[in-house]
Amino acid sequence: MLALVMVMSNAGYMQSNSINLLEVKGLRKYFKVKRSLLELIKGRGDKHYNNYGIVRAVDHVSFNIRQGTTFVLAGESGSGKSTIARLILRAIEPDEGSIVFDGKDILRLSKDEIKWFRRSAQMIHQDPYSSLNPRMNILSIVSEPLEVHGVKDKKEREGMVFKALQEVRLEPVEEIAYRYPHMLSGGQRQRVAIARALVLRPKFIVADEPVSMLDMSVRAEILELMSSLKSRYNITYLYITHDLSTARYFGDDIAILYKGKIVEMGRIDDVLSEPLHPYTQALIDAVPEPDPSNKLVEKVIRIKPSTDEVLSNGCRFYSRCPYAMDKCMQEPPMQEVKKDHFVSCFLY
Amino acid sequence: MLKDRYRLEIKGLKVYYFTSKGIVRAVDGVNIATDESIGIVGESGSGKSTLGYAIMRMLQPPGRIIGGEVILDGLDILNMDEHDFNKNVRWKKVSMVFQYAMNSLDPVYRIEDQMYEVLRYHSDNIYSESSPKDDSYRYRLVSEALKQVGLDESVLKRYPHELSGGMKQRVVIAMALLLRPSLLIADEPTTALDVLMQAQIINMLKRLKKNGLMIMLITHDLAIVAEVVDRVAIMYAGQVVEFNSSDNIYRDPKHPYTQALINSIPRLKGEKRLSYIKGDPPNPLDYPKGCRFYARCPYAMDKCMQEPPDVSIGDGYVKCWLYAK
Repeated sequence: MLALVMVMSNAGYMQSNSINLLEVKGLRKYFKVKRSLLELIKGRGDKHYNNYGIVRAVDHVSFNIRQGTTFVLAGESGSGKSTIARLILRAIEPDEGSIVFDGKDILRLSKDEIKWFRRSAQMIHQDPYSSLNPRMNILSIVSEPLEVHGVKDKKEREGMVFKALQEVRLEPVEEIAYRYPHMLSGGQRQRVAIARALVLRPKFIVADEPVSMLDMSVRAEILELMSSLKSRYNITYLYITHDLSTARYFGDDIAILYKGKIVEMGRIDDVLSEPLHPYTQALIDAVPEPDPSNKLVEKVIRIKPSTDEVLSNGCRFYSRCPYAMDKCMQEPPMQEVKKDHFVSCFLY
Repeated sequence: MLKDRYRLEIKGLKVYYFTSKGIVRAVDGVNIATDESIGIVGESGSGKSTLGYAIMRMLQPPGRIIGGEVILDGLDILNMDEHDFNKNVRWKKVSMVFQYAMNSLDPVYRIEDQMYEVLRYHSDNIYSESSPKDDSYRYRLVSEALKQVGLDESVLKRYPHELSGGMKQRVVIAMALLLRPSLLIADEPTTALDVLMQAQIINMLKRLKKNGLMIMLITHDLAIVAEVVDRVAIMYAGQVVEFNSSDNIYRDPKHPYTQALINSIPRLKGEKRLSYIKGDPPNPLDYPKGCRFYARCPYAMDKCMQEPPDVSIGDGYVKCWLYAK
């Protein structure tokens, strides 16, 4: 095990020729949940029954994010997409698996390296109404990360904050900097959150549903801003969303998550124009289209309603799948059906 | 266009909030007349929810209706006595599903208690009309409403936490339908839901509409509106800037704001280009004179400093000088 670690950390210094900024392998996180009294009584006779239930939030998930691209993690609520984000940023610790960022295994970083990682990887949260401290003005919100990471000189900090605010087009900068969050609109607040993520010049930004709380007309603006920053500073994004139509404008690659497992993965245009997994197909069918002729027909939802019932081994989508077969009681392997287009389904 | 009576007529409606900082003209002279289901579309702060609250007469102070009238099925509902309105109109002729309503279900009561509560408060005169005042009649009303939203009676014995988000939203809609209103106002009914749930709620709204219910769908999402309603009113800074059939709105938008909104919808198919509207909406405490979209409009002219007229186009109108003769 130790030798393996050595090899892994060495690979980083040798500048491996891969262009992946982030490599996630076999990531697993289970949560224990307390059982209700009723469940305990029901399970009394069973010898293997314990007091805790297990939620398999993230179950052996592997993917790579190429340098300078946007990787989309899409799925419904409860699919584990936010848990993956928290694992990657080391807000919580995984049970198993490896996360290699910029050539370094971030699960085994030294103290100095942790600081480097915290500087290089930033996050934009979903709700700009609760992610900004209402008692701090914009200047202190955006300069706080600089203070934490050792920019001592106040003038220097201010200059960097003004520059970051300019980059997210919050102008006039001198005026906005002294305002408080409640004086700004939702779109402006989200731009403050982006400026706060940007001010440390990160390589990697995790954006967790950054536009879902915003109006339609503002969404486009924020997405456009994030992609222009991507090309200007070579930032790599992990974009977490349940909204496939915004993902299409911003993403390069996509992975569809269902109950903690990736069911389909590939280039975003391939996956959205030719979805392979029945779950992906259902998600795409469900997206409303701005076409008034649609109002005459109902949307076809082919999959069965959601249930909590999940096979302990075998395909997790089994109970909802319109094509479920006996074979699906086994775990479907992830296979490359077309070039760069992976799916985990026995249909292929 | 010219017709004496519509199922719903809103004429010159004005709702202001008298705050300590000044007067917010949230709804400022809205005119809508329609027989069909209608979508009210606008950004946050455009006054679309206030419009819904005004029709329900549920405005909280400092909000007040300043002028105008709302006529529903021939009834002038704003000038009615409050007791009369509550007894005969609210929840019987018009009901509303509020934004985030599914979170307002009381966690300690079963669904049946919460549904019967609606009947207790609003139905003292429905029994005399057709049926005797007994439990079987109440049960029939409740199960009918549940069937309309695609649920069965098994949810009645359950508590809110035992239901999924989509089911809770259906329960709330069923409560709004209990007393068979002719107009249902739904304020962002799908915002907090996943796409699959959203599609189911949209299907349900389509079915309700087919059965004769008139729906007023309040949302910022033009894609959902296109799926459900027949007519669309685009609101900007307290005013309706364009009102037309949804075919006209989506295929041939007239107002520069409508055009910009439609170009900002992300789509799953077609060209990958997204535009957005530069700038911010005007301060509601201090709307500019003339056209309120002036500062953000690509076609702004000198004439726009004056209040634009409502120009008739198709079977609706557009509030813009570009089309004035």
